[in-house]
Amino acid sequence: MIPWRILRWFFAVAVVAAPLAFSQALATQGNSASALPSRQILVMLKVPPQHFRPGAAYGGRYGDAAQLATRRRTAESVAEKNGLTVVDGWPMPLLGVDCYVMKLPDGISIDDAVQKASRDPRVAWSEPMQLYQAQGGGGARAPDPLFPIEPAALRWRLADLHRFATGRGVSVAIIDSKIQVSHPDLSGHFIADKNFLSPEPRTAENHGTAVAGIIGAAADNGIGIAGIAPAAQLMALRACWQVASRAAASPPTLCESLSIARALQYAIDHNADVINLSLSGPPGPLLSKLLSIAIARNATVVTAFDPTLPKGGFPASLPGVIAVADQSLPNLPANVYGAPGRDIPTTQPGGKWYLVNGTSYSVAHVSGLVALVRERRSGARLALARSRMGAIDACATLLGPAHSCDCHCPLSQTTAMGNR
Amino acid sequence: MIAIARFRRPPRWATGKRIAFRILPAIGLALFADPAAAQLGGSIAVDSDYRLRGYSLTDDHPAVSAQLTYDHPSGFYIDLSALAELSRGDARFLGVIANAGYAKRLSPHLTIDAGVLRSQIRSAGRYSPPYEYTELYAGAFAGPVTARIYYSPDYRYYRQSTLYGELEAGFEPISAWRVSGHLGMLVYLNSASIYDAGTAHKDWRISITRQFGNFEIHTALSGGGPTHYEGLWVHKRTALTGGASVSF
Repeated sequence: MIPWRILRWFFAVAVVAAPLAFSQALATQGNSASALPSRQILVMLKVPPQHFRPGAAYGGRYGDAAQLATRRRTAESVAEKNGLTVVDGWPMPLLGVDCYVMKLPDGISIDDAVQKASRDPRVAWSEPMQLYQAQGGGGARAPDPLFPIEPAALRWRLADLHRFATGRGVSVAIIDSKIQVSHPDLSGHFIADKNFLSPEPRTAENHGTAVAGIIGAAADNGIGIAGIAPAAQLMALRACWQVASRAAASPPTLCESLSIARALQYAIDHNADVINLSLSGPPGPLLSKLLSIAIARNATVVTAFDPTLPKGGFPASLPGVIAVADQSLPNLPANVYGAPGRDIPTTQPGGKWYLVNGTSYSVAHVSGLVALVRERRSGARLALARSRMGAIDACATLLGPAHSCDCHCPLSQTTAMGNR
Repeated sequence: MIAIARFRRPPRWATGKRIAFRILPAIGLALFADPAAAQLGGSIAVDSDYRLRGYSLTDDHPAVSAQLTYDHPSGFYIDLSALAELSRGDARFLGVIANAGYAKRLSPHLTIDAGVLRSQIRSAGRYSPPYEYTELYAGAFAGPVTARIYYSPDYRYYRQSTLYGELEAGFEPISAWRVSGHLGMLVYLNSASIYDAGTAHKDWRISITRQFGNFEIHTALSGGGPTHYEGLWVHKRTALTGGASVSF
């Protein structure tokens, strides 16, 4: 039996420690999604490699309490030395760093703060906290959206493509705003539903729900639309938020570097085959490094090309990603793929459907197509085929170029055989 | 309950001790050469029993332990851990474990680690030998799995060489909760103590940890075998333990 004196001692330690611990836990939840990170920078702290430590309960993990406490204290020391305030932090084991959001006081420019923090020997690098904008355009309500009005139904011969592949066994990570995973056209298609921003909204958001519908809405279920890859396994990773706006018919959707990085890390850790990033913004080393790891691990990253940004914006400018734009946009560069992006019927929060426009939805089309290709030719090098007009030829992409005729031959043959 | 046969007191500077007392200070000096970028951390833990490799180091009594870790960005590190037994309302200092080594990340999911450890823990039980030994270790962290092998030239007995291999894995089923498992096997390489060469002791542990920022609570079910060797008790039976720790 444990003597009362020992128990008293134990509880004394617990009582002293618990408030410290809880205040620490709460301190890491301060970065509100609604606060624009204009006066914040990201500081990547060097993390010593994990190593053996003797102890009865030691589990040898990257983020154990002892290591996290040390690193948090180091972050606060770096912040104090550089006149900054720690707002939030998150381990990035894929990169061997801890990513901390630090707030700047008035009177210091972001560039100066980044340079000063980068010179600290405890810091791997620092970069501005960037904003990324989802590339969705205006939305308009349609009373009865159906498969026949999907541009992909006609231009991509989607029903025929589904005879060859539906995305079965392929996982698609959708890094976007909050998706209504319970939508009747999407329910049961998700293998993950994670939020990387706080606070989490009670209701689903437009952009993410629309993108998810184009990629993976159920086919042949008698309602709504058919996704490009209706059998794909979807990951709903919320890293963006819908800006509250009463005036705008289509409120903008914004994302920040750290939340995208956290979502990317989740997607990489959970072996997502396709990563859909229907967004664009300025380049940054944190996201570049994570995307490079994803590509090196054979994930296909599909992202939005924004002609208004230098080099089409980031991540579209990163080598190895598939940059996509609305095929109706003029003068697209040769390395950018065009896909349907106008009058797309898709899922809307509240169990509804509506029509959307914008490059974001072109990206979703291509992510779905890549899922079809990866189901059919798992492990093969992905090559997107183009039509004479420069837009993606979905048929040739999925089936490969035929020797004696264009790729509509095998489609027609299969269709004819199916009709006999 | 336990009688120790063939236990000889080692000379003052036995091989293992010599290795430990030469390497540990050298790494320590190297680490403190550039303190600006280094990280110092620590923790204090209270456990209902301090069990390592299937043994209770505190003779089934509650324990309080403190750990200090000094990490250099180059990959060199040094740890110091002190252990006290809580018995009959008093704390009795049992000793320290120090280790130092070098770790390197080879890829995002692979880190290798090698070093030397010295344990100077006196026995809490009346009849068992102290946990005084030196070990050279090398291991790898591959994602959630850790594998490590240890060689000791003087494992608790003079010139008793051993190999210990362990495999650990953990995952987080939900945020802030961690489940981990451990399997280990100690093999005696010669017959310098009560054990014949080739004798193997196995141990296992399943633990659950709940983290609240810097504070965490944990419980573990652990055991090992065989529990007897030539009529002697060498392992405690399966035990459920619990504890809490705070990091700083």
